[in-house]
Amino acid sequence: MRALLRDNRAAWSFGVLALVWLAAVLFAQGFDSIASVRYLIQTASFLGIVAVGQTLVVMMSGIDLSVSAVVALSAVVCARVASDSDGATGIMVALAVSVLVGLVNAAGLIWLHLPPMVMTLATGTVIAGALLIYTNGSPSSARIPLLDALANDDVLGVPLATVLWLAIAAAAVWLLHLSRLGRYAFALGNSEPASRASGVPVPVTTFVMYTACALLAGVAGLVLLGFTGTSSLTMGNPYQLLSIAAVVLGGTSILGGRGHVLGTVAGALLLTLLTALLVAWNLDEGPRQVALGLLIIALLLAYARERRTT
Amino acid sequence: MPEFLRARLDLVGLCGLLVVVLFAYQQLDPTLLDPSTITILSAQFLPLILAAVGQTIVMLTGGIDLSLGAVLSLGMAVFVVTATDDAGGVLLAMALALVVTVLAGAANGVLVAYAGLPPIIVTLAASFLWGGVTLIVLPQPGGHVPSGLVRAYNMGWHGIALPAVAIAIALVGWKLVRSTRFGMAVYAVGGNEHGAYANGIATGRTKILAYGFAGFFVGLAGIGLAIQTGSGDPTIGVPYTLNSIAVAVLGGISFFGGVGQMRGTVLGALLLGLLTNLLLFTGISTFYQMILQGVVLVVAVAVKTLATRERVA
Amino acid sequence: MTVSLSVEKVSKSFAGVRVLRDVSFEIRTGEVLALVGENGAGKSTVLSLITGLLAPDSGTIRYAGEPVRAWSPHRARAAGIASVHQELSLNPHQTVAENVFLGAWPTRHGLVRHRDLVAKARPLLARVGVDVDPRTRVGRLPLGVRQLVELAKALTSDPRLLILDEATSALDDDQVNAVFRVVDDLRERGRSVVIVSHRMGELLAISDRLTVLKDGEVVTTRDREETDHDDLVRLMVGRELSDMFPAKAARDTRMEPVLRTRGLSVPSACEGIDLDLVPGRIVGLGGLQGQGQREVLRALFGLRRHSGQIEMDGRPCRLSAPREAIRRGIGYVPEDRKAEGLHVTQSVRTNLALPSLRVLAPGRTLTTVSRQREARLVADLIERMRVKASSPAQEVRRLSGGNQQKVALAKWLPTNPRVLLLAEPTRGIDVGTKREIYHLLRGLADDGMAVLVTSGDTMELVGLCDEVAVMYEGTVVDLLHGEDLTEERLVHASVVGREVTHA
Repeated sequence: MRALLRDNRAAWSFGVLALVWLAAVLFAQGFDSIASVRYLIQTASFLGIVAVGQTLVVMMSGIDLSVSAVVALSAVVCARVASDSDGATGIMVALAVSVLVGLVNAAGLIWLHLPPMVMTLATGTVIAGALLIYTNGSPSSARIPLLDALANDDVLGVPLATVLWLAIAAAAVWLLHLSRLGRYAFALGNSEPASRASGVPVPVTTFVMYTACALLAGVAGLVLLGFTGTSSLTMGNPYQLLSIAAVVLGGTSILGGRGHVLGTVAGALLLTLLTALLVAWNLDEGPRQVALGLLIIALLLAYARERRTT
Repeated sequence: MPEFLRARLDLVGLCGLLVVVLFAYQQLDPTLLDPSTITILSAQFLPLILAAVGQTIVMLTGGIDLSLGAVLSLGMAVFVVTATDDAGGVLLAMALALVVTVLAGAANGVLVAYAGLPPIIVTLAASFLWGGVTLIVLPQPGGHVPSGLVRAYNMGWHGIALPAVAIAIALVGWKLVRSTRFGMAVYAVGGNEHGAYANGIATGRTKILAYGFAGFFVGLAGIGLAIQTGSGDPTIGVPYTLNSIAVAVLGGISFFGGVGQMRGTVLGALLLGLLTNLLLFTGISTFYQMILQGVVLVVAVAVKTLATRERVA
Repeated sequence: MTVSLSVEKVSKSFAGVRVLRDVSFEIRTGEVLALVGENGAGKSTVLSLITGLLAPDSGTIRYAGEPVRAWSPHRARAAGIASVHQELSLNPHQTVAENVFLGAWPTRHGLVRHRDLVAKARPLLARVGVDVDPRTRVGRLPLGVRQLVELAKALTSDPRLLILDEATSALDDDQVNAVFRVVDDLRERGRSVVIVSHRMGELLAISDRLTVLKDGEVVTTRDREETDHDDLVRLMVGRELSDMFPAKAARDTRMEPVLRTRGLSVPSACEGIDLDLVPGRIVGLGGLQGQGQREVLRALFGLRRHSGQIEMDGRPCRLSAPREAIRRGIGYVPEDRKAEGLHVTQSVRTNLALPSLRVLAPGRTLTTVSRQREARLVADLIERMRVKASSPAQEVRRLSGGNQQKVALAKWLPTNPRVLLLAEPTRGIDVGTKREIYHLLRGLADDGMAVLVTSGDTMELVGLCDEVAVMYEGTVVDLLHGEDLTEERLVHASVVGREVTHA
């Protein structure tokens, strides 16, 4: 039993989430209403969608630092294109450029043999620069009914954004934990030399996972655009580090090959809940960040330590 | 390729590029070698150079510091909040800022060395922590830097380029540290941690010290940035995290530790800084500077990996 | 004669597996003690306890008369125990001089001067017979020289007890003699040396006493004069080996080769290799260690860039990546199974299923993997290979070396390979499992598979293979089969190869 718990850190993250939520309901104001739950799962879905994508690449020992840029890219491009033509075209173009970024990332890893951190850092920088040029520094805002509905409407009381997130998570569970490609990703995350010597198709796996990650960042950008009605060049910035934090708090090893997509769902909820709690305590921005940092470190120490392989 | 060149491929390549860029720069701005230009340029480049020096130290141990930007802001905040107008007060504020950043770095080091957490997530969490502390110290942009100091620093002091002197002193300082047993141990731990442990090197202590030293240089960068801009800003450090990594990688520092020279990092920082300025001169929008930075990074690292790959595969 | 260090009733377990049981022996001053035993007998573990890398579960280690407390590599080193390990502890990115003084760099006014290091390293390097510039990066040196640098490093502290753990495994005769001179010198000055080596002849030549370990226990300790090669082997193995190897293939199997190489070359490793791998036959690649055997296998599996002609079923083909090799029906069990052969941090199930995912999830890469079929496949393999695992979900690194090797081999079977490449298939494996693997390989060959094996173990090659190609410095110098395939001929060919190339 103990071994089971130790090996299943995703379950831990749900346990911690339940505890924190219970504590919030008991000891903090305003966490006991349905509306508060609704708001929480809605805001968590933006981070959650990005983090699910990040999980896909972290699992194969990669990392994607360009997600923040892609979130902004997708939102800015969509808003701009939509104001020239219509919303549907904007969405299609935005998703297409997101996919393109993922393909470029994967190409750099495969053919230029760059470390993932360097490649995705570079594409992120290039995108940020390209956006400055594209918008001339002032991105446009746009109300796109479809996105508006996606971000703010409900199905049976559940926000549509959350439904989308959970659907994406379900698809990711299948991709990573049930499909052949997922097996390859896990194998790569555990040992690249052994994977090559076992015939794992490294290029295909890299392309699919990095493209899926970029696509999901693009989707998150669109949902955010719908939520705020305006795009900005910095709107993606928080998601770069928070998406990685959500993955790790979800029990996935940052070194790859160990963890579960569903853990990331818990991780994103946990991070959003913690942030909301700290806001509810009326802390200033500074103490709030300090508390968040300390809490993340404490949680990592509690269940995310890397076991030494030797 | 001769063995000598091959072993120093990064440095030779960087030097070559730097010469080309300097030549182009000289054509566009004939005052390049005037003391005043050197003062301005060195003031402009100091934060990135010193931040990259800090990042390099951490990367040499096989780690990475994602909290660097936050610690840089922290050093800046402590300095501008405590600085007074007299020389003693300024020095005291500097010392205080450096103590704080060294402690912040060492705290990162303790978690990396003893908590069994990978450096990337420790410093990721720490970036929230130190960012928050910065906001407590300095909630809004502002603070106070004596105007005389700002003038002397940016315009030259009796004809001496203070920032250039500061950079030189810092680099000589690192050179000394690097040739102590600790400095050797940093490379040994980064190159083969298990081997270093088996040979009786205190790997944990080495890492903590290394992160502490990184904190010191990053603190200097923060102080320099405060004096250059004449005030403090709690979030100004953020871009330095990734830029410092980019510069270090450009300079030939390996992600896996134990490989690379500090002079590579410094060359990388100079190259990136000068290229950015060149763009300004040529009248291309500054917006292109980020694209340039990304492309330079990819090309430099790709050329290096592809050129040295034959040996491995 | 006084006792330098004694090990008293020491036991040690890893993950519930007892690797040492009540081990006791002593090392006297001014003597060379050899620890002999098969791979996995516990030699390396004992040495790790002495050097402080590991702590015993029970029992004491007494050094200079005092039981050691809070032992660590640092303390052991400070107390005058130096070691040269099987796994090299050098930093490949630092220079030879820096590595010689690794962790104990001499300083002047707190600063390490590289010129001093170089000057002080020179005599130490000369003492171990190494003639390289101390400013060379260690990563550029051949393995043998690195081992000698490691020895030079151990000598910097003028140790009272020197431990040589397979420290001669990559050395040629001249280099071994240099090591022996160092050992003799230490003995004369009243220091102690513990030596572990798989080369029995060396041990008999240099040691004063030999302690035999078997399955984690001390069998006996003998003086050099009262033992010989055969006696030691009997003690180490503890039983007769007549049923060790299966019967060989019938002599008249003359089928067309499934894989044929002509002039296969790998840059700076091997050249002009001609091999014919015939279904039903086991071919060995013999010779001293590191004569290019490993690279031949890696080239055939697409892991090394190579030139020359490779034919499968008479048609030329390119093997530029493992995936291509696998597609053509080649399986590879590498020498370093923990790095390349297995995903040690994953379960037995995952490892066994990985090469067969195309079968378990036919169609595109995005097909769902059938858990039922996977479970059936894994259960079959575990039963067929008699893998001892608590469950298919057990992590591979928790298995014993023999069971790990079975998994590394078993994972290829469902892909029905026509050629199986194995590097050092029984390294670090107990005798019982060795025998199982030999019989299994013969069974696979009888079913029509072509098998190519490299091994540093002469007895293994002679007992198992139908034909052995002896390699020396990257070329095949002799081809032995039938009556000619004897240990004497094999060893002779390995050495004659050297004389021929030098002539």
